Amino acid sequence: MAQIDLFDAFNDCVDRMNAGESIDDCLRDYPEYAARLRQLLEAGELVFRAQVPGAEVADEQTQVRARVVQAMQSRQKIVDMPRRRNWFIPLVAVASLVLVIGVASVVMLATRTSQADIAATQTVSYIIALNSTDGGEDRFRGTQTAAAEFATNIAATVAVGVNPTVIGATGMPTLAAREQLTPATVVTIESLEVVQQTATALSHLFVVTPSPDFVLPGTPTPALGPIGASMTPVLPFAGTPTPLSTPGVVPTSVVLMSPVPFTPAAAMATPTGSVSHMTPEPTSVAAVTTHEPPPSSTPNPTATMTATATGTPLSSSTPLPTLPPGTQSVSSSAPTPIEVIPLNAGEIDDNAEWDTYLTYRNSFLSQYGYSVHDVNVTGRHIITVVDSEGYPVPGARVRVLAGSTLVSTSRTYATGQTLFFPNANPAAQGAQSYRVIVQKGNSPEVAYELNPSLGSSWILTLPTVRANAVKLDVLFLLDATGSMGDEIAQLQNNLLAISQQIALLPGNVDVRYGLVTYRDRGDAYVTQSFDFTTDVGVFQAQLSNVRANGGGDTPESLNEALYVALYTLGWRGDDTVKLVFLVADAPPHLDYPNDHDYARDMVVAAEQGIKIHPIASSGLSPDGEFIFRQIAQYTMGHFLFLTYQQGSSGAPGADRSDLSVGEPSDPSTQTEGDYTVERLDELVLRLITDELSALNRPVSQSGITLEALALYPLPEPSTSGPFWLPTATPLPTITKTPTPTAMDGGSLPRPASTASVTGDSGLTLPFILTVVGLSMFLGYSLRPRSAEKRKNDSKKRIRVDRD
Amino acid sequence: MFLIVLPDVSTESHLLVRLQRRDPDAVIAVYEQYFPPLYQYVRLKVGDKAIAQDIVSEVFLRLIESLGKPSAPRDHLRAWLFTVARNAIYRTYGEPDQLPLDDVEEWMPAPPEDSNPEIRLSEVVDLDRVRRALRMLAAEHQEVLILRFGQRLSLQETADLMGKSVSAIKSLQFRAVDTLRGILLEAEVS
Repeated sequence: MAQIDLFDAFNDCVDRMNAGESIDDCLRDYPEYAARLRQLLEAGELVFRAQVPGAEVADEQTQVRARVVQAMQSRQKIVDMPRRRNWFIPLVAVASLVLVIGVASVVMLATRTSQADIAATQTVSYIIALNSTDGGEDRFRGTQTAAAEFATNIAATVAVGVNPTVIGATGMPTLAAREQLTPATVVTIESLEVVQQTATALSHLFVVTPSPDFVLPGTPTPALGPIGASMTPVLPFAGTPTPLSTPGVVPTSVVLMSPVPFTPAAAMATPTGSVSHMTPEPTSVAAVTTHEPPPSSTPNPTATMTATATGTPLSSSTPLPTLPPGTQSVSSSAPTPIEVIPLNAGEIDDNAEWDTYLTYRNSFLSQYGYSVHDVNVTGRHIITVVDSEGYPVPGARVRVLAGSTLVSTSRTYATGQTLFFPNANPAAQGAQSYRVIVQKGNSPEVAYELNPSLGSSWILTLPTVRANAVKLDVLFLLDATGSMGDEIAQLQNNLLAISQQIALLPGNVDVRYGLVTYRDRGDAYVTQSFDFTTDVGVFQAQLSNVRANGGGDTPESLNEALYVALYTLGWRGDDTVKLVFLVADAPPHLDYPNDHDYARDMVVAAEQGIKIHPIASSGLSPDGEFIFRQIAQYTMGHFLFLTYQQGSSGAPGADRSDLSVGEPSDPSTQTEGDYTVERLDELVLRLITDELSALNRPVSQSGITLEALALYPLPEPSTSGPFWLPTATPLPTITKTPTPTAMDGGSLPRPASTASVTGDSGLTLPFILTVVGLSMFLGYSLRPRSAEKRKNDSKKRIRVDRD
Repeated sequence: MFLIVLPDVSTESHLLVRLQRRDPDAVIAVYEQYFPPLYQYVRLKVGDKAIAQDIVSEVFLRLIESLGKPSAPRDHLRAWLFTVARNAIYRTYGEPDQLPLDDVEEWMPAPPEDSNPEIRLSEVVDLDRVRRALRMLAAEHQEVLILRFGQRLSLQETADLMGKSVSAIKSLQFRAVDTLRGILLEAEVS
């Protein structure tokens, strides 16, 4: 071994001193340099000791604290004020819009020879509204300021070969926001396809919903059409129709409507003829043409399907949610039954078996050699928010303060429950009491005092109104690396069957399906996402095209996938049951630079009220199991795992001895085990129906009931909350566009949000983006003055305060 | 395989997430946690209590201003705060070589060659003298000592902060501590 010199010995000792060793400890290892090293290290140690006394630091900290708090409050006011009063950006945007439209019109007049085609065009309005049914949902607050930009985007997009159309706004949650969009602009739409594509392109930002009176040209109306009354015409991006004129109901999201009712005569005259170019691609129409759900008297197709499978019929004992009369569900036409390739799975709810989980957790963490990001969940508190009738309140934001420090934010799930982990945040540790602030939508915040020494399960009663509709967003997060190859076909088959069963759920659930698949860095793609769709057919087509490939090493880019799933898809608001089923066989890479962090994102999921159920495929490593269970536990999900026959090569069974999940129950001998085994499709469907049915079931959870504090001082409830900005962290550049290959099974369906927007005039997306970019640039380039002014105001105020 | 059971991501990572959401309470939490080390760092560098207070205040005001902007901290909160503090000092005092030498008129770069190795500095030097000696060092030497010995930053963190390689930091800290000892002994002798 090479002789270490004084220089290296010194550096080694500095590192060791910084790690807590003494000078003498280190000198013992370098006796030959001891005298010289001591001189140097003592000089260095003097630097540490020369730091100013703690009393001075504390004194200065106290003095500066007030200044920082004031600055923060000033900034909040300054930031909020322009949101209500700043007309500058909208004015610039509208001016740019008019300019763009003018140019587009001139170009069109010069190039179009016949207006006859235009005569057949239907006048269509865009009504833009933020999703105000969710009230104070933070993410939409952030988009309010961008509302004018969206208007510009839409206008610029539909300006591609356009004719008369009104772009306006209604149903905004606040007057200020409505004013931002009110400047209506008359433009022209020639191609409804452009309208539809525009709305589709926007669907990752808004839920796009057709109004009931919007009729797609060429589509027969229920009264006159050949298909009859059971046919409901919808658009490719259709959701549940939202009546615009219902008193007290604010329209949600982007709504398409036809102010000039489509004339049946025109429809009959041109069923597929002269206006056929305006209709979407045939496949799209087919995919979205929907029928009413089967009447309740008809046999449940689920039963038909399960009868053809080898397993037991689906349980029908779970009560399913009911919807108010008149609510329609959007589902595909009668599906072809899918024969399920049976897969068995076990399930563990670590929150229910808390002590067992803590034992497992401690045991794992005491082992040497695994790479995980631990979050200290010991000392867990369960907070259940109920309404005055004892029903759960889902989607309520629960914030916990220790003193004046916000130490936890989360949202209640369908059960009304959420978790608080005082030991996960140093600022929360050891507090004698916590202040819990609960808010549902835009309703006033209600505060409670939580004394942790009295218990760990709490019931909070919140005066609120129950949601009148059941919405369900289900996302399948699928590991598509090569190691999944042996099971991906069966899993796809099961997921297809599950999606079909979800679509057939009784109770008219407004369901959407999303899909994110992922591989690893260096593969053909890292993540591939398909935003939520109401059309199970579209989802199934996307899922069917997934192929397992790539990977290489054991860990995969789960961190990236989780981030994409949480941040980039269009999750709906507070009154939505939001579920992720993560299907994988490997832990995330924790050694990548510039990567996301699953531990951070599971916290984000809990904050968004998204529940994650991991499904462990074969071969999951111990650290993978720990991480999957961490994610499930933190988000109140269950840990699912495929089970196999012992010693077999993957045949369904009950064994999973490679995991720390204990022994299965044995129904044949009535032996009670640590987990039961079910068919995977039934298990997943049960978890979903359990979640939905919880909404309509009074809470049975025991706990200490907390009384609301009578006069909790809330300085500015409308502005005090943190903003939720899904795009705060940009996606890293490593995400690649999927490159279909022969091994991948040919072309992949394009996600709706990335659909090419091309109008009849031949102008393409780059042009649109250029126009939008120009508009935005004009607005933004003039913005710094006000921003600078605000900054100067802030500094001035701070100086005044300090003086 | 090495043990990488990270103790808790909830501290810095948690704060970063909250800052990215413009959570005003997160700023206060950051303040409570990072004021002491920042103040110590700045105070040792500038020597003056009022100036140190102003500079550290400016760091947090910059943090508030940055919320929601590209300049906001993203990955390494502590490094971001120290960098802002460092830049604020340089804005106040100019480039590193122009740091004030307090009341010392001459630069004393080399340690005395005949220094007695048996002298234990801690026994003969009071801490005020150490502070003065620190401010007499070249800016880079001063900085590396404060960051490595005062704030116990890792080599990598120090390197990132100072814009140098790890090996450069190793050399720098060796020379710096040697020079500091020389100044201290010289001052003691004189």
